[in-house]
Amino acid sequence: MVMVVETSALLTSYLVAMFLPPALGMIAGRLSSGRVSYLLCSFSCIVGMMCYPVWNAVPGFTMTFPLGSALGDYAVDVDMLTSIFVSISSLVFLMIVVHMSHSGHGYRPAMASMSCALFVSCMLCMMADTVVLVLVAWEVVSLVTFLMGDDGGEGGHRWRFLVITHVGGMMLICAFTYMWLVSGSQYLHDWTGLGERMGATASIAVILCLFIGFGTKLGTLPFHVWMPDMYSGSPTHTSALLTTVCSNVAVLVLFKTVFSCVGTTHDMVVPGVALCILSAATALWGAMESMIQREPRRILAYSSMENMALVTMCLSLGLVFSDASEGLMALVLLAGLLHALNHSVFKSLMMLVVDSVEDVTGEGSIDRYGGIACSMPALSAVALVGIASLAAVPPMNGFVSEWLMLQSLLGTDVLASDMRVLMPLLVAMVGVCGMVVATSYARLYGFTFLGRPRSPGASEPRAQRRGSLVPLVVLAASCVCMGLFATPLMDRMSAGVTEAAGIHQGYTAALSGTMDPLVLGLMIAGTVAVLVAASKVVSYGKAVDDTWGCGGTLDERMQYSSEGFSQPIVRVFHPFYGDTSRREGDRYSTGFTEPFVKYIYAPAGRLVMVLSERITRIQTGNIQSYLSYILVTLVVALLAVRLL
Amino acid sequence: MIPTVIGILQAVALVLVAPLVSGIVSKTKARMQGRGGASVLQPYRDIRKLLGKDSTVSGSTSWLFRAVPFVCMGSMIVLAMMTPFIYTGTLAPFGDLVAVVYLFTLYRFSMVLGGLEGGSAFGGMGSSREMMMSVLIEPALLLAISTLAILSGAGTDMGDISESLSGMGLLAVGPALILAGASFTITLLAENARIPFDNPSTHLELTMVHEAMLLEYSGRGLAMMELSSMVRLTVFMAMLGSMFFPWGVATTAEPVDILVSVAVTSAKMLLMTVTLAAVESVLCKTRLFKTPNLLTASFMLSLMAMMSLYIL
Repeated sequence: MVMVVETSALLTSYLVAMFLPPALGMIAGRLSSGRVSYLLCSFSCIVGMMCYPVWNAVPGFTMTFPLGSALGDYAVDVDMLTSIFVSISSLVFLMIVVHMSHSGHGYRPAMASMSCALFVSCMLCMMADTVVLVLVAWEVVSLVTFLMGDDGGEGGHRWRFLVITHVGGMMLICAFTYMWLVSGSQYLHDWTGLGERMGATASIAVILCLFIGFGTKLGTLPFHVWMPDMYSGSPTHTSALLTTVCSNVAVLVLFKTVFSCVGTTHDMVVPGVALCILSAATALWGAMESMIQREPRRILAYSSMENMALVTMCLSLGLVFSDASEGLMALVLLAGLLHALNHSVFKSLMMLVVDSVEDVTGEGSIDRYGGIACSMPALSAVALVGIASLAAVPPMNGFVSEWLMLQSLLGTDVLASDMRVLMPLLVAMVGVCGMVVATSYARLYGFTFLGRPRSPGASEPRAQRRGSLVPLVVLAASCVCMGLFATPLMDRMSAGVTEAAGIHQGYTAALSGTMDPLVLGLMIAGTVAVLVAASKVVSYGKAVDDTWGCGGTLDERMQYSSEGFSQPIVRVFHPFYGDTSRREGDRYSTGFTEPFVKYIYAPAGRLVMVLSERITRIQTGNIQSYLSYILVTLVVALLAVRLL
Repeated sequence: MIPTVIGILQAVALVLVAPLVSGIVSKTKARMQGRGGASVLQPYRDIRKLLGKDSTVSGSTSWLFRAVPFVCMGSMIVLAMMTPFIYTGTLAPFGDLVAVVYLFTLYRFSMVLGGLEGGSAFGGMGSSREMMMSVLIEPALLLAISTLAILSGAGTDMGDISESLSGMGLLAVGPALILAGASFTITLLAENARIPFDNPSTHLELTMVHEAMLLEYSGRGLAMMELSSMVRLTVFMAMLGSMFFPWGVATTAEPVDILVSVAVTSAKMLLMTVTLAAVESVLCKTRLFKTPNLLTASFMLSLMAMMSLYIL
């Protein structure tokens, strides 16, 4: 009995430590120009990082908040997987907030209290155990990111984000409310295996709504159009939080709702394959688009789209494999969730790197950078770790999750399923995507850090603020550690996945290959170290000279341009990109318009404008006509009630 | 313990043999062109000469440029440890075929970044073209080796694949193996910058791809870059010889088996080397934007190879 009291006291104090400081931080606002809020938010992030150890210590991590509401309770329920997600998301959140408070230009007092609000809403959404809390927290996440996207300009990017994310939000409200009605309980933990009660058609409809609803935040086609604008238009720290922590929230809640609440009692092969094809198309689209962008943040935006599409592809394959093999299902779900976590670490690192580069050079396009590796070797080294993780180069963390993904696609168990012909196509898709994004990242890194400076800002970068490199180093170290020590992480996550999805087999059951990331990493590092040591034994002369310029001297424009770099791929995949040449007067340039905007969003916008113009005709401003509208409405309503 | 030692020993053997393979290719090509040609040992002499030279680097390069040769050479040595060459017991349990394909990515990624260093127009051009080709090469490579994994039913460990396929005997020879083998052969040519994709003996031509990335290296850096590309060719040949047509490869560590395998593998390597030289002598280098046609063919072949396993 004493034990129970102690654990509940521990739990209460833990949750209070996690949520009270940022709640105060929201109120503190501009106090001491936001420093108070930053400190409170950072403190709670550290508390959030301890979620996994606390979960280990406290069995049955559930709690109902003493907050009344007309619609239902606010309660949290933390399982193993959630605690891992909360811990890693908190780490990422902390690093972004620390960087935000240390980098001079990103610091705005209003951002401090909003980060507090975002932290609370993200964490509550991941932990939520009641319908109301999920939906409210999700809505707050959207609204706060919308507010944080304010860069003092016109803000078209924010409104596009808000509209599209609310289309998704509506789908989520429909799906959750329907499940609430069927289950008769507001607690999500009562919903386990709800699919059985909902029937096959309703289950499929709910799953589609969930995938597309959360997909609007993850950039699923055709809802991705807000991403590049939002990421390049907002302050970088907002983009960083949006692409990492908010994506983690979406992936985790999607996973828990689909695989724990709805379950896979019905045959889910057809919707699974449909969603899988949609995700694969999204991944390819994102990869191809990131190739031709010039702003680093737009490159990262499309790369987020590609990475998140790989995650949703894994989750939809989980549906496909559900009746073929449980081990394979565990494997593919683990691959997807691990990739989401890895993505949040390396993408936040890259976002902060991009922010630092923009800060020190004062430029915003990769065609204006170059040579920063010479002037800022430490920044270029952490950036290289991030780029290598993004490009899935061993032994970084991105490689481990892609390895798991390919393992699940090559799984031999799937041979029995009808959908096996899909697998070679998906392997090919992952391969092509991987190489296209690797090209894109090589381009991003090469034209930012290598070569010769292409602009005055890049040739003489300003000094960075002291300490602003610390969060980057921590994130880079996390990338390496999550790569090298992936096996223990995978084992723990797998236990969480199998627990949440009700699978009885671990991921190792379906694994057809073996790989030891630690040994592999040590083999690579060891061989390179031996080679370096061997080259030190005999000293040799080193001379420094200019880059060979065919006998002349090279100026800063006489080097390859980023556009030229991607040109061969654009030419090979020309049906995909269409005609990219533009002519204005006697100037030729290349440009690319997003076909989804041109053919879907622009006509839809025009249609809405035309309809609203029609509707304004009845707004005459004449009191008599308004009274007559009321009369007509009343008569129609009464007739409808009487007749129906 | 013994397999680990043998795995490391055969990696050493593979690295040591690599310049000889290049030497034989050059010699055969010279003979086919009616020239005497340099000795087959010339690549060893070249590397020794380069290792003894001082190096000159561009002032606009960073620390990364100096690290690239080590990373390239290191990744190729690790790859050599995982490839079945004479004996199927490799260090593959630490990294299966998926890891191997990604090790190639590591190699290529560092080489491409090295090409962008210094800001030379040639380096950028080489890097750009290399990435264009690799977008089609890498998936084909992944599919071709994965086909073997599924065909052999031995999982994705490269040593096991080799062992299992050689145990299957002639049963393994079917459409899947032939299609995958054809695809892999095209990949071998493309990945190693061979005619018709690239000309390894060209310098300072606007058509060059691989050599363009190496222009800024000198001395030891160049020696390591050259040696690592020789090792890459040999690793590919070892894969073709010991995984796609593994008959004769030692599956046990018995001395007799190893000796037989050394003889058989040498014969296979010689055959492949001479064939490569012959192919290079009769074909000409194609235009850059014609190469995707052949690469797509390789990609489709490997896709069909894997499909045929599921459908037939």
